[in-house]
Amino acid sequence: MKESYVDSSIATAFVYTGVVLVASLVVTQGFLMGFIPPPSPALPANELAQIFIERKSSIRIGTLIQCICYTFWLTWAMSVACYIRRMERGVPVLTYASIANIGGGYVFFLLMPITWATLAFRPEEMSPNFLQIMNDWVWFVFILSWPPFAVFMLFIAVAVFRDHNVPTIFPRWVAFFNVWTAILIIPAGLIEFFKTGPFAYNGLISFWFVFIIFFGWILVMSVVTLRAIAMDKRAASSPMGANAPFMPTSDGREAERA
Amino acid sequence: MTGKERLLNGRPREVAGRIPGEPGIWLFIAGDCLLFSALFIVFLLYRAEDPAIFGAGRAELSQVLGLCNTLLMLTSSWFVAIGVEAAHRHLAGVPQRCFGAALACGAAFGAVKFFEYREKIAADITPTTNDFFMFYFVYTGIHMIHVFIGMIVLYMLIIYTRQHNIRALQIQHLQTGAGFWHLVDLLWIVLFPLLYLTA
Repeated sequence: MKESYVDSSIATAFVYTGVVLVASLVVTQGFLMGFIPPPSPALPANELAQIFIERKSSIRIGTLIQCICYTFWLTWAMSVACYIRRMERGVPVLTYASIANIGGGYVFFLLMPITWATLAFRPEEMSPNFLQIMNDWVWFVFILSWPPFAVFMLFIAVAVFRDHNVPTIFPRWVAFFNVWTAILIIPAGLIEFFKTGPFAYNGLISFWFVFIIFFGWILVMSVVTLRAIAMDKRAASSPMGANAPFMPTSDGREAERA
Repeated sequence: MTGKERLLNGRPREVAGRIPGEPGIWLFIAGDCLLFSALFIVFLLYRAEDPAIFGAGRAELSQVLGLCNTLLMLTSSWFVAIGVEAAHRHLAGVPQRCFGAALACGAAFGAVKFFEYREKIAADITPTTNDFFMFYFVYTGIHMIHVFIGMIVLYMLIIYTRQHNIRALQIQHLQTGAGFWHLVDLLWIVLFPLLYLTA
């Protein structure tokens, strides 16, 4: 099964795009646009409109950078998907599901900066109420879209649990970690019900907690994937060695699993 | 186990000396305790700001139903522990019955919660009524999600014990699942006094 090799340089580059994504988020949304944390959902429409009028240049620059860097969700997540492929045998159901999921998730990432950019295009001419609804929409796209991402975490967890390689490609704790993060981002769903307090879209739990967990998850998975790439490389440099654990598995090498 | 191995509490020493279950589940348990600790601290901070609303809200909860659920959780945990112990002692047929009983307790817990929620909603009390009920519905809801996942885990344990000969069972797998269920129990043991009892 030669095709199950992962090209280490491409994979490494893909992993680092995820780190760039997180960095760009902090720089653009945090420093440039001042939307970490988000403006309160309870803020009156005209005050919100004022924010967009005052910050329109920095929002335009920020969203431009975001449109570029949020595309990296695709490249980053594919680096993980490649290793899910390495864990699977037979028809790679989890890999297919992950690829479809990643393609869908990336639309949500791009919708955020595109909508903000539209709002910063002519905020003076816009009705403040309309602007308020569209601003809500950005945060809803951002936070309420948690299920596909939670499902991707569960795909990773299942793949690690069922990994037939010896030793496993990702350590087993990665599976538990992914189940944990999948559960932790559930409170994101609560933003529909509250305009103030910890479960509003600028709240302590539904924003800060979910935000830190999700982007922290990207960083942790980046480190895990880089380690898997490094182990692959070591195995490839001594392909005939007795201790080459990451040779593509043939039937003789596979662990016996019921 | 062979005769040579020294026994500790009736178990081979190497098993008794190790942490129960897979190490990964402990990462998960610690992580989840972290989440709930954060939730509890947020609750206490809000309660300190408005003790009157929180006191009045607590008075509207049914302590009896809460106590029922506490007993159901403790009983289910007891069944799970007995089930793992029975697997240790190679008592064929016992583990799956114990896990089944625990699963039934979990379902009963869900049923009690359903009636509790229905009663509240019938009295026009919803998560948006006030801060106390926001926390009440959200926290018990997040806990209920854990109960659901725990019931799936228990079901998987039943399937696993049914499919394998009692001597071929890996106790570690059972302990991993049991560990998760005990976590669900533990979280309720903290939630119950926090929401229902302390003024």
